[in-house]
Amino acid sequence: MTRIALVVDDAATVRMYHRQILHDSGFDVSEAANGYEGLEAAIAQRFDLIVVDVNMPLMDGYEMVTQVRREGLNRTTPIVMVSTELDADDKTRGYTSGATAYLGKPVPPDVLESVADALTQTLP
Amino acid sequence: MAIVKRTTPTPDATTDAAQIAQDRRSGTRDIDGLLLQLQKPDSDARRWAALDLGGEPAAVSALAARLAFEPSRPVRDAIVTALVETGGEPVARALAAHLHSEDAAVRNAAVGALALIPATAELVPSLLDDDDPDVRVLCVMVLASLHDPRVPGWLLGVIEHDEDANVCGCAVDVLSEVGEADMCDALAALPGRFPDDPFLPVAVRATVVRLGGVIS
Amino acid sequence: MSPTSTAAKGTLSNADFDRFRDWFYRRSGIQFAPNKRYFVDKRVTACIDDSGAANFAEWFARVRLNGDQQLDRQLMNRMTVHETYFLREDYQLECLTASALTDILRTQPSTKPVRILSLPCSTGDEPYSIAIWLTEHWNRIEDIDVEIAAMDIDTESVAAARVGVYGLRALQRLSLTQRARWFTPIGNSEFQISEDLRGAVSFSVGNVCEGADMRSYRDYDVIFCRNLLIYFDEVSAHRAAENLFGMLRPGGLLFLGHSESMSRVTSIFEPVRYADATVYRRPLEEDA
Repeated sequence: MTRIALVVDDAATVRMYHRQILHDSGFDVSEAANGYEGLEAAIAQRFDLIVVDVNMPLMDGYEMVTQVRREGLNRTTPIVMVSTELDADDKTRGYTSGATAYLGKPVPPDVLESVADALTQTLP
Repeated sequence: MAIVKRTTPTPDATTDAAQIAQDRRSGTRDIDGLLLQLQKPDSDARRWAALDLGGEPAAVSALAARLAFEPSRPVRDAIVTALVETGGEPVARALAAHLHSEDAAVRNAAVGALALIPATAELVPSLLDDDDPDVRVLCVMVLASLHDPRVPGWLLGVIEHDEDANVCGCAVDVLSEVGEADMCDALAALPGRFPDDPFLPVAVRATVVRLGGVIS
Repeated sequence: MSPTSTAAKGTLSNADFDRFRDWFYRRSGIQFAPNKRYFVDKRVTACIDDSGAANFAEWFARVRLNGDQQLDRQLMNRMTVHETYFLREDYQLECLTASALTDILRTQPSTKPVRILSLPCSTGDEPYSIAIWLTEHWNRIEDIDVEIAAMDIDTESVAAARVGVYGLRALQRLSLTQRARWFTPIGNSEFQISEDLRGAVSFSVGNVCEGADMRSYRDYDVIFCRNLLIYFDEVSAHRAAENLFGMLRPGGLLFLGHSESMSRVTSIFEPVRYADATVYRRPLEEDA
């Protein structure tokens, strides 16, 4: 079965960039342009992977992930948070809100690909 | 049938609404009273007070100050609504100060509000000159929604001069929507300024195509 | 002519179409299937011609950067369908009786009537549809009182709604049985809705963007505000959403139109998913 990913970022070009990498890895990709739209997508459909930016208007990544983890279809879905902010506090905040992985932006294609594969591997 | 017509009027009905409208028109709102309400423990009371302070220049600094530590999302939003209604440069300045906030929710509220206030345009050059790249990114986020014909020119300035790759990347993205065809050369020159960035060439290519330019 | 508009008259270049399509999705939530390309090109180029702009780039700059509301309105009017008819988007009515009302009853005392507001009600199709649907589908309709209110900005529409006379087009989605049950033919292919229903819905004139006006609408359990916000600029949409929030009681639910989303406006509502619909909830009392 094809894996489905949700990419959440306010920048269309970043969504396209992540989409391309994940698509090449065999994912079907849905997009959302801010944390609130991401939350709407996450309550409507179960994804195999969510890639979410931190700094977005209306609702940021921390808030979105916190809400997604609260209940519903994607409570345990692997979530990769991406951000330009990489100090220990930011990472802690990301993990506390429920991120599975926290990567620096821009993510090199091979890094995103291997993290996505590692997090969505189904055990035999 | 159980579909029934309401026979009793809504509580606080027309008298409340008419009174509020009248107070606003005649300038007899009790500003001090409303500002006190803004401190009450009841979030609903704070929300109504914030909305009632819309369009009131005397309340701007109190509302902007409250935004910094208001815990309720609906009240923060009501404060934004009120400040946007007032508008003008003093409001834009007060909100721009919040772009430096440690609190993401406060920064987000400020970005959302600034994008809706035409007077924000007057602050853009200095915001794009801020030492903090995070503030410059937030300014570009405001430009993504601000209605002003100078926006493309400001963004062009960013991609030509800003020293932070992330700020430039954000600007490229906004240009893919509002850019002009004659900016393609400047865009094409951008990745050369940040040769180690894997994302910029991709973003520039997509933007150039979107603006009808040709990739060399 | 700018490089981006070398396309033939009546069509957009691919680059222009892509730019328009992506922006329009952000603006309205409406997505175009690939086979709609012709439709979009025709309507957008008509807007460009009407505006007097030399090309797409100039027109788009006026709409997008200058925020020209007149051009925006023309565009929205050309790109959307304005028909009003009974049982429009009835999957939401289904959601109301199958799921939403259950949650409504969970969060409020059962002695209170359920209060529903429909706006903009136009000529009454929506509020009367809600009444018909509830009577035909809700398993609690016999023991729970429902109050239905309806509001529109246009006095003539409201006056017409009170009279409740409709043509065949408005009734197209009703079966003949339903038509016979709820309407009386009054000659010339027109039908008047029953006196019971006319008496049961409270109509009023009002503007959802006006905060002071909307103060008198409070404590609604459900509000239908479908395909209205989509026509507003960002400031008005934000103000309307603010007012809608205040008109709901905590836990109350808001239905928007099929392609609409609060993600373009505000984050004060909690999105809630039921079967096929996303509905927006005013959070239950939080208190700080």
